[in-house]
Amino acid sequence: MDCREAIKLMDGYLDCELDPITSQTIEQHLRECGRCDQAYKTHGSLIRAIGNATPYFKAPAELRERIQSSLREETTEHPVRNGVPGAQVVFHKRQPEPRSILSEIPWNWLGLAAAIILAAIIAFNVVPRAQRPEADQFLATQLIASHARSLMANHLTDVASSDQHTVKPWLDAKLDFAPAVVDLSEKGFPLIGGRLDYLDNRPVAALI
Amino acid sequence: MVLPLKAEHASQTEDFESTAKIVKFAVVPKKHEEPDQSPKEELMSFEAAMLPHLDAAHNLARWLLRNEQDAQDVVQEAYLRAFRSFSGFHGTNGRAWLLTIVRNTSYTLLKKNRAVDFTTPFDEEIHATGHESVSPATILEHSEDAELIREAMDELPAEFREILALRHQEGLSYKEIADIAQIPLGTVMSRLARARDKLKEYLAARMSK
Repeated sequence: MDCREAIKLMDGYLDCELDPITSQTIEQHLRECGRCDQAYKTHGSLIRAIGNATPYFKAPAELRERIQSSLREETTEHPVRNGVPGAQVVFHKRQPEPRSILSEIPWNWLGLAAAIILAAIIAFNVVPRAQRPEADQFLATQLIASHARSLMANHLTDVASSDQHTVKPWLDAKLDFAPAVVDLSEKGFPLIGGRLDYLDNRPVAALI
Repeated sequence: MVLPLKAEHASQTEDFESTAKIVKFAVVPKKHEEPDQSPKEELMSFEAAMLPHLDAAHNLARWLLRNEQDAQDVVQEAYLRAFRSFSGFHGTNGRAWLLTIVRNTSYTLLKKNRAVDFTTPFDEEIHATGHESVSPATILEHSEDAELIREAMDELPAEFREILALRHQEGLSYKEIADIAQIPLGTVMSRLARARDKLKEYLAARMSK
């Protein structure tokens, strides 16, 4: 056994957790190697000292009472074993449920909205401009054409509402994707309604 | 008309018989498993088996959470959880079983409070300098200072606090520690060695201040 191995096994030996043969090999090495022997002695006394001096936190008497009364409550509430509900009684008191709902759901919504906006930006700006300059032109022509068509036919909106939450579900139901219905009234474009349109051979949402 | 009816009838009888057999088998072990223990008796046997380990449970939770109120809440919660699954416990080592539940409940709370200390690696830079001059003898001399040790231990990552408490205070074997901390047996020694080295470093760092 070399010094490296002896040092590696030091904690196991001092905790009496090694098999007898390995322990004997270590003892043999310690008799031959003064440095390892010294390291073992120092580490051993430190382990003992730490063990003795580490404060032990005994349970206060009121905790025992608290547990016993909560167990009694448990048996009267759920006479059948393995009752599933109420598993997190204690945590609920300290960290009520609404908090976790608040912290999780808005993030999902934000993530969803961000994903849709990002997808829209990529789909309508980056990809056509970078890769399909002609298609971009074609898209613009189509956009103008459908706008003109809607004005001519006096068919500006399919659903007339200034409420985002009315327009969005309506569009959702008609499309194979969920469009982001944004409120631009602050920028001087109050919402009038939504319309189903065709762009690039697929149905799209138009916000008016 | 008669023939199909007969066939139908026969198959029904067969099904009924086989169902009856299954029911019979299901009932017998059930009766055997639950010898009509009343909730009160069950509570008594649970308390007799688990309340003696209350100090161990509290001590572990207190070291893991570093906060008396959280520790008490976690221990109470752990006892309720233990009671609910007590019927499934057939082992002999009640203390290790309870401590596993206490440990898991503690980690749930640590994660909830976003205490990332058990994933944060030890800050080597802060503690690696300035204490080379502290000799093992000096560390040993101060290692009886309970307050100093408590402060140094509280600074360690949770996995180190846990393993030190289980080994030094409960005197558990490597096997028991492996079961409670849910790590391979071979990892116990190396983690314990690292935990002790870090504690030594922390103590030295505090002494050289």
